[in-house]
Amino acid sequence: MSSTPDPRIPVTVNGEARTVPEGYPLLAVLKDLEIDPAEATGVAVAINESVIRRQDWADVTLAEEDTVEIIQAQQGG
Amino acid sequence: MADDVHTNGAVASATDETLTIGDRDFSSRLIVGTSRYPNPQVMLDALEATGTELVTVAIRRVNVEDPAPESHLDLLRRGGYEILPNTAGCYTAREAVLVAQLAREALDTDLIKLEVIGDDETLMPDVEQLLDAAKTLVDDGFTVLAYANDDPITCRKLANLGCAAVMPLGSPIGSGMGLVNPYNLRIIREVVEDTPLIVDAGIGTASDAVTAMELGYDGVLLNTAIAEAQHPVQMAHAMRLAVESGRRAHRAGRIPRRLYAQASSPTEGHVGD
Repeated sequence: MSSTPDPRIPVTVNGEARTVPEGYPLLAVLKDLEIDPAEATGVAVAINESVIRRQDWADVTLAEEDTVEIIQAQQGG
Repeated sequence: MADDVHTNGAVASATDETLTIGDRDFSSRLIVGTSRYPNPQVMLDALEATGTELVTVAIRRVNVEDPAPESHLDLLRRGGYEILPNTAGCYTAREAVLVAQLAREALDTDLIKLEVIGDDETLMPDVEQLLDAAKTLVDDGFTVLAYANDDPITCRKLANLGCAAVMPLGSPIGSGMGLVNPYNLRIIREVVEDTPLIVDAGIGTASDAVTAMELGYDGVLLNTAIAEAQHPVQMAHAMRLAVESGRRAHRAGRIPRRLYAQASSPTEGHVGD
């Protein structure tokens, strides 16, 4: 085992509790969900109830206890 | 607007003002949902048969366990439809406002069909939360189409808040029960004069849509009545005709109801007089 363990932080992604490495990029969260930021249509992200504009996705990393919502438009009435 | 032009007894043209919602004009007065069709091709064929220009979509979390669901958004956009995202499934103003803001970012639109429901069984709006969300979203620059109870007071409040359209239910969502309280819908039309009114929810068959339009409503929003019909595309066409028929009848002005008969044929010159 490494003497400097990778520090992990708790976050919530779409209602699911997860731990991610400190400084985990938002783009990595999207990749985990198989969302390609260049291709995905009808997708949006909010962290702690603030919408993150698409052009800012690459600049955002997660902080401890962040609540991330990633949504997609689907068929509905 | 010009009156209908009659040629040899047939209506050659029937100009009507467009349905204006916010800064958008629609020639179709039918708004159609995109859920519950047997398959995507039936959905596309049905939407085309309705003649609609505005279709609703839902906003849902991307599933962590089963990512990248198939999106039909591209199909809808290729079909040329304007997209109306909804806030279905929201129980509080706070949730609905966040979903609306996410929808605006995801779809690059200020249109929002605002639904704030009180419980899962009735899917009836929670009026307190609905009004709160409507005010916040109107102030934030959204073009709000508010799904409402068939309550004249609530509908008037939503109109006064600046909603671009107020959409009272005919009966519970997906119930197909039609317009269960047409008298309330009439009163709503009288108290909400200047804001478009659309019957949203409960339409079961074409006659329900006709009745809504005859009551002076500006449009109809429906989904299940088409999507779950035995023949969705045929029902879609029927709904298009129903909305157009009801609209024309409303504009034409119906005769008053009379308790006793009134002869259509001349009352003078009967044989035997």
